[in-house]
Order: sequence, then structure tokens, then C-alpha cells
Amino acid sequence: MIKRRIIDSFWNILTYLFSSVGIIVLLLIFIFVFSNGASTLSWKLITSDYNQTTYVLSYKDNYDGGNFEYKCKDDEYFSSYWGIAFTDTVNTEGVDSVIISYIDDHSPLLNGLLGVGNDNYHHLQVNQYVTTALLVGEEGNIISCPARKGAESMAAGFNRGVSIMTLNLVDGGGGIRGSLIATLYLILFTLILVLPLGIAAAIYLSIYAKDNWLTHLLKSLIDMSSGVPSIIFGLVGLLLFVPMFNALVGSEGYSILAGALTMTIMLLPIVISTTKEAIDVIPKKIISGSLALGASQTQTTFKIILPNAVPGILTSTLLAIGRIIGESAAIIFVMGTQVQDHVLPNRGGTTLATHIYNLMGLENPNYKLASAIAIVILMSVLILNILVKLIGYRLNKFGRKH
Amino acid sequence: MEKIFEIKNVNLYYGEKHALKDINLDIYKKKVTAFIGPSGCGKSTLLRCLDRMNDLIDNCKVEGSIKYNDKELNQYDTLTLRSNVGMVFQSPNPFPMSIFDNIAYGPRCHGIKNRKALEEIVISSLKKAALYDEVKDNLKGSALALSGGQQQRLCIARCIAMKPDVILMDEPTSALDPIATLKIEELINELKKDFTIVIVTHNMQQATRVSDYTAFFMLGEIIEYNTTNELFKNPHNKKTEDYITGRFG
Ligand SMILES: Nc1ncnc2c1ncn2[C@@H]1O[C@H](COP(=O)(O)OP(=O)(O)OP(=O)(O)O)[C@@H](O)[C@H]1O
Ligand SMILES: [Mg+2]
Repeated sequence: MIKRRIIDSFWNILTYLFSSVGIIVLLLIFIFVFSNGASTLSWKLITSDYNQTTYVLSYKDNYDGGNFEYKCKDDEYFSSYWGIAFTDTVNTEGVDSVIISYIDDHSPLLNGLLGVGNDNYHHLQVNQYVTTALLVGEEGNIISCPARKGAESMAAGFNRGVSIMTLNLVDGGGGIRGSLIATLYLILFTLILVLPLGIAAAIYLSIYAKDNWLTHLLKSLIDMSSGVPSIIFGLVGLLLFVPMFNALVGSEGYSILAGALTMTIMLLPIVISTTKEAIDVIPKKIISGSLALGASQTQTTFKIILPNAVPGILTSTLLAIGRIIGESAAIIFVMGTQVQDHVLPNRGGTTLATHIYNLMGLENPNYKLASAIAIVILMSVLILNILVKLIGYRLNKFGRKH
Repeated sequence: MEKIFEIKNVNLYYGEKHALKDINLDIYKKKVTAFIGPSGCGKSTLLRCLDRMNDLIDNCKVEGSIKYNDKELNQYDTLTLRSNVGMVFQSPNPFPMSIFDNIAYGPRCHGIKNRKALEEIVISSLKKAALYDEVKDNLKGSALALSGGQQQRLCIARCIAMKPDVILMDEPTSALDPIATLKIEELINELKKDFTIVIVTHNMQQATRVSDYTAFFMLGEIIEYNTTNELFKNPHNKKTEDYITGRFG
């Protein structure tokens, strides 16, 4: 007896030990991701393009100077002559840069800068990066202010210049808008394909299919294919779907459509089995009840079976969305790793997950941005999972009674 | 007396299992016929033959002839047949929808869309099933919220809504308490004015209370078939006598 107890408590302690190690590791990952990404995560990050826009501008007329006033914050440097403040910062690619942090409402720079070569007036904005500026002093001397010398020397240089030969600006960049849209496209197209196919297959298997070896084979194939590593599906997509869409819709190489088809094949087993489970818990006597009233099998399917399978279908939809958001291997194979700002279904692009892959493959990996995206992914998956649980509790009419 | 079903030399197999053996039986119009017999003797099986619900069972094979209104059952389209021959199941099986929709389900499936017409059908069916007074203020409420007895009467109302000729009932009160059972029995006595009723029951008293004819089954065969009065008062077969006096099964 005592020996038995010792063995039992030994296994208990071991179980607790291992599970607490698992939880601690998970916690550490969360802490790492949040501490690295939280500061980078912003609405601007979500809404701006990945590729930067660069401008070369000038202010040719001699400006006789204003006497602007501004109370600088700690790290700001203000040019009272031009009414503009600069701050040292690190851009999304991790390079030291100077950013415009304030422009006076009456500053000549606000609307007076002309594009070099196109003579369009440019509306200067806060948060644009200055890469370099060349100003002309009172005596015709040239004052050079590169960003690497910092915000302080930039402000000082501006105070000494009376006109601006060239001002090189960089706007935005490093944002995830394109990847977010590509992710949404991928989810949309995949669901359009996988839901009808999966639901139809589930209905066929639970209701119409005869109980024979072929059906059994089909069912076990479906069960098995949910265990196939996603990279295999990626290979299939690359060898089959990418060329197929090249021929079909004239895509050149990678495409979101090929991605959607690949994800469809990958998710079909999940959608089929979740929907099938939901159909199988509908009591047989209700289905017989409908048929005994002289309703056809089709009417029974649409009026009794499908409405009652809705919770299962919703659950499988949410699970599928979660898998699409989290998938990377298969996506890289069929959609490439090139981040796009103009997302088109017949072109490649990155989802949020493969955007991270792209960032970490750069010369100097951008941990902060990667972590910020990871937060977005983790949050969406968390919300999806909570929704799945809620649906399970709220809508399931039969599940727990049987 | 007018026959509505004429069953001749019916044999039924579930795969290898010979479940009904050489059944011959006439069922009379606007009468209540009871099937009694020990468990597993084929009462439900024969009942399911009458609205061809056995068609839904994969390995079930029926031989012989069953005529409904002088026409072979196989020549009817199942959807028409089942709207003429309704079925009430052993345990109540309301659909997970409102009371109104439950009863309107059958008529809707057969193409009645007019809201007024449906309303009339629902109300008259509920009245015939003696349920109207209990649910009239709550037709939009879920059918699953009703008590077991109310649910069973709802299922009878659902059946009546199809305006059938025949109502088949497979142990309709076996899941109900004595009071709910009594209500259903009263209802059956009321309904036999308009419908032919075939009822499977394990309850001898119930058979005597509600039925005009009784068939006694054993091991897939009909041992005795007679008016209920005669069969219970004066059984011709020893096995019947043993069964109804409780010395068997
Ligand atoms: N779907 C089926 N597949 C195979 N065998 C079946 C099936 N349904 C019934 N049987 C068999 O046929 C025989 C008759 O069954 P049935 O359900 O008609 O009996 P019953 O008289 O209604 O019994 P009970 O009073 O218990 O309801 C039983 O032996 C049963 O095992
Ligand atoms: Mg039975």
C-alpha cells in the first residue's frame, strides 16, 4: 500500500513539474513578445505601408527668418528660424534616424516645400523621417545636415540656413497594412472554398453515404490527413496550384489564390470532422421525425440538420481562421516572402506570420517589429479561441444531453 | 368493415435476421388496432412497414404484399405515403424550434406557404391534440420547453397537421407519467372518430382501454388477432392467454 502511494505521488510530482515547466516557458515567450513588441505596436504600424516613400524637396527662395517659439520636450531640438523640431529616433528597420516631431502652424516649411524635379508643393508632416538636408547659409556657404549626426546638429544647421537646397524625406515604411490585407484575403478566399466543400462532404458522410468499406476508408483518410505536416501541403501547392493559377488567371508565380487553395486542402479535414461531429450529435429521432412527416431528405437536411449543425460549422470556421493566421510553412511555398503594399489575389504576398519570417530573414533582424506582429497574431488567435468556447457553451442544444 | 391496410404473407429480414414471419393482417378504417407482445417480437418493425420507414434502414428487406387503400404500398411515392400515414414515436421528438414551427413544419414541406392557412392548420391541430389551451399564449416559445406529455401531444398535433388517414403510434406513452398517459389515451379515443390508429403498447390495460382490435405477436409471428374484447376475455391460443395473464414475458 505504502509503496503504491509513493509511486503515485512520484508520478504526480513529475506531472506537475513538467506541466509547470511548460507553463513557465509559455509565460516567458509571452513576456518576451510583449516587452519587445508592445512599444512598436501602434495604429500607425497597422495602417502604414511596408515600403517607404521617399521625397526630395527644396525651399529655393531666401527666407528671412521667423522667430518661432516652442517648448521642447526632453529629446527635441527646435529650429526657431524655420519653426520645426527634430527628435532622434530609430526607424522600423533599426537604423538611427531623425524624425520631424513638430511643425509650427506658420512655418514656411509646412506648405512651402517644392518637389525637386516636379515643382509640386509638398505638405510636410510630423513623423516623417529626414535622411539628409543641404541648406544654404547667408554667405552662400553650404550646410550639410545628415541624419547620422543627430537631431541637435540638424536643428542647429537649420537655424543657420536661409534657403534649403535639398531636403530628403522618408515617409512611413515598415508597416503591416499590406500583410494584414493579404491575410484577410487569404482567410476570405479559403473560407469561400473550404466551407461549402467541407459542409457538403460532412453532410454526405453522415447522412447519405452507405455504411461500407469505401466510406470507412474515406473517413480514416480524412482523419489521417489532419496529421500531415503543413509543409507537405505547401509542396503540393507549389507544384500544383501555383502553375495552375498561372495558367488560369495569369498570375506570375506566387499568388494568394494558390495560397487559398492550399489552405483549403489543408483545412478540409478539420472542417469536415467538426461539422460531422455536430451533425452526428443531432438525435436520430428528430431526423426520423422529419422524414416520417413526409419531408424529403433534402428538406430534412436544410431545415433540420444544417440549422442544428450551425454551432459546429461556426466552430470549424473559427478554427480554420486560426490555422490560416498561424500558418507559415505552406504559405511561404505558395505566396512567397515578398511583403506587398498593393495586395492582389493573383499576386504573392505575406500574411502576418510570413511577414515575421521575412523580417527575421533580413540582414539585421527586426525583433521589435516581429514581436509587435506576434502580439497581433496571438491576440487574434486568443479571441478566436474564446469565441469557440463561447459558441460551444451557448449554442449546443444536444451535445451535452447525449 | 372497410380495410385500410391488407397485409399478406409479409416476411422481413434485417440482413440475416428473419424479423417478421409470414404476417397476415387486415387493419380496419377508423378503428384502433393495438399490437402487443414481448420485447423484440417485431411490433415496431411491422409498424414501420406501414409508412415505409424501414426503407431508411440499410440492410432491411421486405417480401410479400402490403396494400394501402387497395394499392400496393411500393407504388406510392414515400413522401405522399408518409403524409397520409403519420407516425408518433416512442419518446417525444419535437424539433428544436417554436411550437408553431413544429406544427407548420409538415405543411410547409408540402408547399403551403400562406401564413393565414398555416395559422389555421396549427390552431386546429393543437385543438385536436388537446394541447391548444395549454400553449395558446406561447406559440412562439420553444417546443423543447414543454413537459414530456405536452411534447408528445405536440408530436401528435404535428402528425394531425398533415391531415393523415392513419396515425401510427409506437409506445407513445412509455416515456410519460400516469396522468400524461391518461391524457393521451383520452386523446386517442377522441381521435379515432377521424383517424385510423395503430398503436404498439406494452400495457395490457392500455390496449383494452383504447383499442378495438388487438394483434398478439411472438418471435416475429402473429399468434392471435381478434377484437380486443374477444382476445382478452376469451383467448384462443394458450400463448396469448399466458401473456395477457402475466404468466409470460
Ligand atoms: N435496424 C435494425 N437492424 C437489425 N435488426 C433490427 C433492427 N431493428 C430491429 N431489429 C431486430 O428485429 C427484431 C424485432 O425488433 P422490433 O424493434 O420490431 O421489436 P419490438 O417488438 O418493437 O420490441 P420492443 O417492444 O422492445 O420495442 C428484434 O430482434 C431486433 O433485434
Ligand atoms: Mg418497439
